[in-house]
Amino acid sequence: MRAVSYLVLLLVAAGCGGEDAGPVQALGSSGSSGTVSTVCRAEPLVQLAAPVADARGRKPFGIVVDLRDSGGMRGPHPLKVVFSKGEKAIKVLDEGAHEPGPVALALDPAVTRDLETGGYTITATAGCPAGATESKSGEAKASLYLARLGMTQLDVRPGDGARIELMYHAVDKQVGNVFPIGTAIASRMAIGAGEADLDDANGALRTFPKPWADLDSPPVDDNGVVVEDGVTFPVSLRVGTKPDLVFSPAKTAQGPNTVQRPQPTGLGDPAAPPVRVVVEGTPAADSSIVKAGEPVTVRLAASPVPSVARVDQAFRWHFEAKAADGKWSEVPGSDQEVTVRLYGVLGNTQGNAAPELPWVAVVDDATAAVKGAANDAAGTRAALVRHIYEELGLSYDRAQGASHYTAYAGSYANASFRLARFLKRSSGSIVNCSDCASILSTYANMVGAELKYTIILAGFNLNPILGIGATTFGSPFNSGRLSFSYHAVTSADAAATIYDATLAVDGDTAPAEAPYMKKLVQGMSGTEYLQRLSGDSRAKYTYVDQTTAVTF
Amino acid sequence: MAVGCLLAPTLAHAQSAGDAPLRASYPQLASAPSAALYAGVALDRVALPGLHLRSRDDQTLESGGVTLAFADDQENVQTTVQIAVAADAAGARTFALGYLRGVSGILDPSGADEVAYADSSDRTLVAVHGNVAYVVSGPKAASVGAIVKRAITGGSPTFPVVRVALPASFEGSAPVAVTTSGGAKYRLRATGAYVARGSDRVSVRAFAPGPITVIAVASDAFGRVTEVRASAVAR
Repeated sequence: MRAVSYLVLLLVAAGCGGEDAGPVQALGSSGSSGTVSTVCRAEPLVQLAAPVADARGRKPFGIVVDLRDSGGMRGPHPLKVVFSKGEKAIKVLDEGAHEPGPVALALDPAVTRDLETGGYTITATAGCPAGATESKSGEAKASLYLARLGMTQLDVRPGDGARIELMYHAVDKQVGNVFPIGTAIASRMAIGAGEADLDDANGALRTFPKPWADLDSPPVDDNGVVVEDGVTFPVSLRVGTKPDLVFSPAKTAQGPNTVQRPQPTGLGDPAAPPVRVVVEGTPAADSSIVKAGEPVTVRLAASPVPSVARVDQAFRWHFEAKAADGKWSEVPGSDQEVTVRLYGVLGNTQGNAAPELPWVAVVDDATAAVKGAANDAAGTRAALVRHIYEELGLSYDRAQGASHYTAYAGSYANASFRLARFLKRSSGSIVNCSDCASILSTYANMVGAELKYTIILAGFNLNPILGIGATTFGSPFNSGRLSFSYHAVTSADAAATIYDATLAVDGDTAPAEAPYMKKLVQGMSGTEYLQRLSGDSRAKYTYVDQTTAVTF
Repeated sequence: MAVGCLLAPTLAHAQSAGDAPLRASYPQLASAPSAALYAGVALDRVALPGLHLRSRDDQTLESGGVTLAFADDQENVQTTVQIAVAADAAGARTFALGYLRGVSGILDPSGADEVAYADSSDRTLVAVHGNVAYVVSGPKAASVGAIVKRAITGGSPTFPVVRVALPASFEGSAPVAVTTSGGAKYRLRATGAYVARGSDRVSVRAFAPGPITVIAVASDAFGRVTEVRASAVAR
């Protein structure tokens, strides 16, 4: 929370009220005797919230006129405060009488919204109360640069870690028509030709687009061409990455009413005080000084993805201007924000070319399922086993344990997974072990927790198991048969450690007998797994460390 | 101009040593195939009482053939029918064996067709009929199989002819022209690029300079599927 009031942002004090009046006296010239002073030496001091104001700031710009009287006279002092451009008064901000002390005023954006960017002046003129035996009025001026502050695009780059490429698998709902997001800017405003960067054709302030919600396809136009403007794409980052936010400052803003064309924002004008962008949660740095049209990079101080998770990260930033004394202060109402959907992942062990490139639809679900519970491969795999086994609404094919989304062409070594069909449940929610192995390995690999599949052969008896979707231990088949012709599982270490989302085993000391204690297979040793699954010596890890190919 | 070439719709008939138990379980598939050939399966005649066709996915045999998913009124898929029209009977048997490789249980021989296997609860049927293989998963599989069998159409399997044309090299994007025989429908995808479908034209848009390939998968009303690829270079 930026709670710093402009009252403490004492910046420009361009007093021009005459000679130095010396120390301010608390009372009149008679000191502490209680005599009321009638000597008036009015000395206003103009204090601005910042040396730069955003002409269309989202809140009023604060001005404090510190009305002083070094003569010590109390009583209402006439005060006039004028906002002007050169000799031309634009708005009288105050014209009244005030007791000595701070007078808080505001420059409403309604006054400045249609003005030219550039230098302006705040002039405060203070007079003396009636009855003064000695009167000296005073005047103070403060320079104010009116600019238009804003960014038009934000990219999220690797920073000190890595950005992992993602792709959409069905551009314009054509499955197999892929679009890697890699080169796309994370978030970009849609700016029409000839339009101002910061304001739309109707003069309304642009905002950053919401995260694109479709997990299958990016937006397309009437010709099926992918639209990258006006879109906020998801970004996948390796866990722990402190990304670089790369901002593109606006170059133009809507011009004054009298000029029907965009005007410069004022950034980069030699007459303008330096302006920098400050990202919430990250300390400000002089390296983030903003110039129109030149990208600005800010490395986040902390990683938004410390673990495997899906995070709708709101990036908020504001602008600060540097005063002549070197102090930076926030430009009121200059804040912007964009929410980017970030995926914290471990990497990509699936593949670097379509269709193996991580799919947005998979990474979105997988990272949401892990929910930040893990930042390593083992924990991620375990969370995904639970997700697939318990949360996807899948059931084992109790007829014959047939694959519905996985095929082995020619050999058990050649598994292919029809991922797009699975995501749409085109063949329903009935699956078998090959499907579960494909789902688990693909989900895990697309978030960088490597898994391969292993086939257990051949024709072996089973202990009672709790198949996916089942409520009681026993046979996975309607027939009551307790045997598998084969079984597919996954492992990252040649079946030394097993992950299986197809079934839960009996976790007690007697896995062949009741009572049964449900135990998910989340990193179980290969030896223990076979004992709990089968206990039949015919069950052997045969096709080990095989890779499932993703198809559409 | 780059023009796509026709890929023969055949399956590799490779055998795996690890398949010995599989072949032992399904010996009929290892027997000499018939020489019978059929044009394909009239897909519009594969209609299941009480269910509606929720989706149809046309792939080459290697990628699973034509899959019809039938759903109830709540859009829950109740039955799927996979149909593979191969160039010859051996191709159909290879498809069936490939399917059975992914069955954890063991199906029993069935008299439903020339070669057929089914489960005792009548929820799974794998059958071969000349150069046509089909798989039914769902209730009353035998009845559904009979519907499919009746839809098998006499004739020779004439696969769709597809032609994909695009400039041999282009900058950024290029128009794609696709022609098919006999009104076959097609679906496009690409590597190194994506396909943009407008109301009156189709174009391919490269992600970056380099080689790109446009892939057309065409299918007809008899479940015959052809894949064609055309390559070009994006400058």
